[in-house]
Amino acid sequence: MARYIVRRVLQMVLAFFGTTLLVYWLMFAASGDPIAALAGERPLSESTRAALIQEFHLDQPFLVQYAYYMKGLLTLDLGVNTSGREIGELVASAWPWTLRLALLAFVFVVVAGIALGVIAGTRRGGAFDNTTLVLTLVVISIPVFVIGQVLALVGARYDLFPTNVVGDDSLAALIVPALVLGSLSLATTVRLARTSVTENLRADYVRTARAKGLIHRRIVGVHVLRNSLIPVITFLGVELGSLMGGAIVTEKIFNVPGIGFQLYKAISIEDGPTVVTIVSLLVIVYLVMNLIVDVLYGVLDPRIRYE
Amino acid sequence: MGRHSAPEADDAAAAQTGEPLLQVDDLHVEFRTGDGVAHVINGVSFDLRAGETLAVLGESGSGKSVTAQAVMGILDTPPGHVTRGAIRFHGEDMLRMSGTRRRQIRGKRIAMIFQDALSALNPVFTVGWQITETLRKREGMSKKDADERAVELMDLVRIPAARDRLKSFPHQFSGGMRQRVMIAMSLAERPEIIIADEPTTALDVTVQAQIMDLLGDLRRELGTALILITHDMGVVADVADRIAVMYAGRIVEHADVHSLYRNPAHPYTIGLLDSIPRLDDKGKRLRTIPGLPPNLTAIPSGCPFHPRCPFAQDICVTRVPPNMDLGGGRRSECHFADRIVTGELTRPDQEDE
Amino acid sequence: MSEAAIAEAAAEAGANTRSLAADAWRDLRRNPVFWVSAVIIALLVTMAVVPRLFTSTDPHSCRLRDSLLPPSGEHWFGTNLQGCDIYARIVYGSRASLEVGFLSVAFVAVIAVILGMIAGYYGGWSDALIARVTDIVLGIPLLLGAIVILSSIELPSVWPVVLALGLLGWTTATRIVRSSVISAKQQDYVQAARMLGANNRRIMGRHIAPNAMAPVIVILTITLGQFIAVEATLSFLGIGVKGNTITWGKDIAAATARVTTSLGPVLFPSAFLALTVLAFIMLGDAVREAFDPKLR
Ligand SMILES: Nc1ncnc2c1ncn2[C@@H]1O[C@H](COP(=O)(O)OP(=O)(O)O)[C@@H](O)[C@H]1O
Ligand code: SF4
Ligand SMILES: [Mg+2]
Repeated sequence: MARYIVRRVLQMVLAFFGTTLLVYWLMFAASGDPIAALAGERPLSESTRAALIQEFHLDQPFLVQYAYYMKGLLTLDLGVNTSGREIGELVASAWPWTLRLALLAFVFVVVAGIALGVIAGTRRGGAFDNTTLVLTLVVISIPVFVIGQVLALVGARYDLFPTNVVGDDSLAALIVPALVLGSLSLATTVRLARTSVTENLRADYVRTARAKGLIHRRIVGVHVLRNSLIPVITFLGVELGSLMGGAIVTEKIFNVPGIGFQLYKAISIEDGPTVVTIVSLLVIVYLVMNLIVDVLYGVLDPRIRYE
Repeated sequence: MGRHSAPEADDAAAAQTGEPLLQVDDLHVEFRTGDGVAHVINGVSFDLRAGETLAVLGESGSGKSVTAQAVMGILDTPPGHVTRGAIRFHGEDMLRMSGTRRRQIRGKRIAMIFQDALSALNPVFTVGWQITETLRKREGMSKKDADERAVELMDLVRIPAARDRLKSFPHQFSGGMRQRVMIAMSLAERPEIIIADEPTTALDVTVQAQIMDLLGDLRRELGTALILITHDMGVVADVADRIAVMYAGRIVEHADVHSLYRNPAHPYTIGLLDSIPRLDDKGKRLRTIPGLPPNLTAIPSGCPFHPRCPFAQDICVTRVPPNMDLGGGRRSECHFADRIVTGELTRPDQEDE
Repeated sequence: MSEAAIAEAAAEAGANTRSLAADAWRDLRRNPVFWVSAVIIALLVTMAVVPRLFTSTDPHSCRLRDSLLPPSGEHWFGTNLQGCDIYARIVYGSRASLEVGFLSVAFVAVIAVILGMIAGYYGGWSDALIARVTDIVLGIPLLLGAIVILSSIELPSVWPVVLALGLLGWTTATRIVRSSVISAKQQDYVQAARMLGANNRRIMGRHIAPNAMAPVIVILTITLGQFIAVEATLSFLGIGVKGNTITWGKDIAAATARVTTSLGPVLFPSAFLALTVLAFIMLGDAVREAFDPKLR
């Protein structure tokens, strides 16, 4: 087990540096003019220019710039944005919102996704199963921003639920945004759980469990479920990371003042440093979630653990 | 274990002559699928007395596993349906029992061992957990007591260092050891009958012999009755008391081991015996039964074996052979069984060699 | 193995591939899902290529006094805030979506086929290297990576979006090409051709590529739908296709400026977008089912 974890951690460290390097490169080196990439088209005063060059070490070779940037990121010194505000502060005040939103969405995806998937999987071919299949396909096909925008519109027009989260501190205001954020993951989870349950119901060990005289509820609820959940949990773990990344759309639509909202604002005002910092942070969250999932996978599936 | 097993062994000896433990009577099973109705079991009847070993023999697809599943009550329904017959355990028809009562017999009084222990064991639970599952859930044992019992059982099936291996997972065992785990699991609640469905087919030849020895020893020590399903005629000679030969969902011959090997009474049995590799017929060609097992959605008229039978006559195509009683507990479903068993009728192609 | 035997084996394999394709086609033809999605896609493509066939209204000629008219004979879907005909804008907006979809998927296909075949056929260090690069790119969620790339390019055309999606979206397809190449490579006739010393490029082109095609086509079709959704999302966020080009995503975003007044300007383009994505995903599913009956 320890060796498995060490191997995965090493792979993640490699992917971490590779990924952040790629993000950084895409931001600065890929566009010809790094200053324009940072501050957009607007005219800059000579002093701002100089400050940007100093802040991002633009007079140094690319890899040195990257090294400085990584150092800042790893020591949580996130620097200042183009209007001189500490990005660290920005992130610190926005983070809790996104975390709450993503966790709420995640709970929803886990509970509803597994429950619906297991029910559909055990009743394959039935009315419930077919309805679930069609509905999930529809949800998968409608881009999240469309679902969100239409819900926000309808909600506001008929005054069904709050569609503007700014200034509303209650968790209740986050429910609809969380449903929207989780909708795609939910549909995918349902389908994955369904397939996994159906496959496992056909497995030989189910026949053994029946031959032991176990009751049906225990065969499905313990033997089949424990096996079926392995791919589902793996998927879900990765999803928690991408839910935070996906929050940009939901937070924009419902005005949730989280990380995604800040990212959206930074894009609109062409604030390069904030964009690249927030994206890097989200990528890190995503990678760490992947690592946790890999370890969890090892715990759940003994065949992996001892390889 | 010994302290529990002694009285059972006595019972077994006493019961040898008494009421059969299990009576399967005119069992019919069909599978209804998109391709039509497959008549998989077509009137199977046999008895099993306490402590006795019955081998069920036949080519793959002849309905051995389905018979076992019907007895256990674990047929895949749908598509499988029992359409006729009775399966009496201690005289009571299990097909007419409530689901709950039947489940209390399943695994506890009649247990089953499957062919491929790697896939038949649940990959994500330890073997200790799986062996003790019914003890904890049905017998209400504490985890500690159940673990003790699991160690006893693993010792009994000769798994070395049993206590250390309780926490191991199935994939960490060799094939033979895994099958021992399976056997230990089936013995957990001291069943009266064990049904072993091709328990050695997935194993290496040397390991096969060890597992067969183990099954033979356990049966002697514990007095458990055994239904041993196999398609390998060579395996059963040492272990079985009686043999039922299956073809196309029927028991075509039924005899004690010695008579069956010495004077087979059905052409299909002769074919099976001829296809066993023997030490003394070096150089001679192994004879296999020509043709393929029948399509169960369209079983041939008359005797289902007639398209492949070297003895077949016109009557075989038109009339279903009777279940002929040959005395001494022997039966055969062949029009000419009485003349084949005495050697009066021999294989028409025999003279050519 | 003799030349003749190999030729025979190869011919048989070719015949197998062909009969597999024939079987798949027979299944597809009977599948209503396939026909529905194929017809929708054909209509959309026609719409994108010759929008005039569908409307004679100029999507750019908008009169502010026509703002937010309800659906009528003249404006089928009504008008938007600026007074433009929504139906005409949807018709003309289909081009951007489909251009991005097809071009970026073509980009992905080229990368995936080249990298996947190298990794799968040669294995060894090139496989390991490609696997590591795949890991790195997989570490960046598509939407976030595209945001980073697009926030530094100001070109008013579909190409920046195509570039971003192509650069970030090739990983799954590459893995699929790699694994189908590995399984095709293990087939007897390919082994035989290798033993005979047939040249690698010939083996890949003649024997492996045709066998590895089906799963790649499936994943590319589904990816196409996803890319159209991502493009609309990026345009919605104001970072997708820049300039004057009409896109569904931009129109949906613009329509939300005045949310409470009228649902049409949001609902109609949204419905077309969803239908387009759905059509490609259903088509991919139908093809997958046809090639792999086990999935049913
Ligand atoms: N779950 C099932 N669905 C459909 N047909 C089945 C099923 N199980 C068994 N059968 C049919 O029953 C026949 C006998 O199978 P089985 O009892 O497994 O043979 P064997 O003698 O090899 O154990 C097979 O030909 C198979 O077609
Ligand atoms: S009844 Fe006829 S066909 Fe059937 S086994 Fe006997 S001789 Fe052969
Ligand atoms: Mg069988």
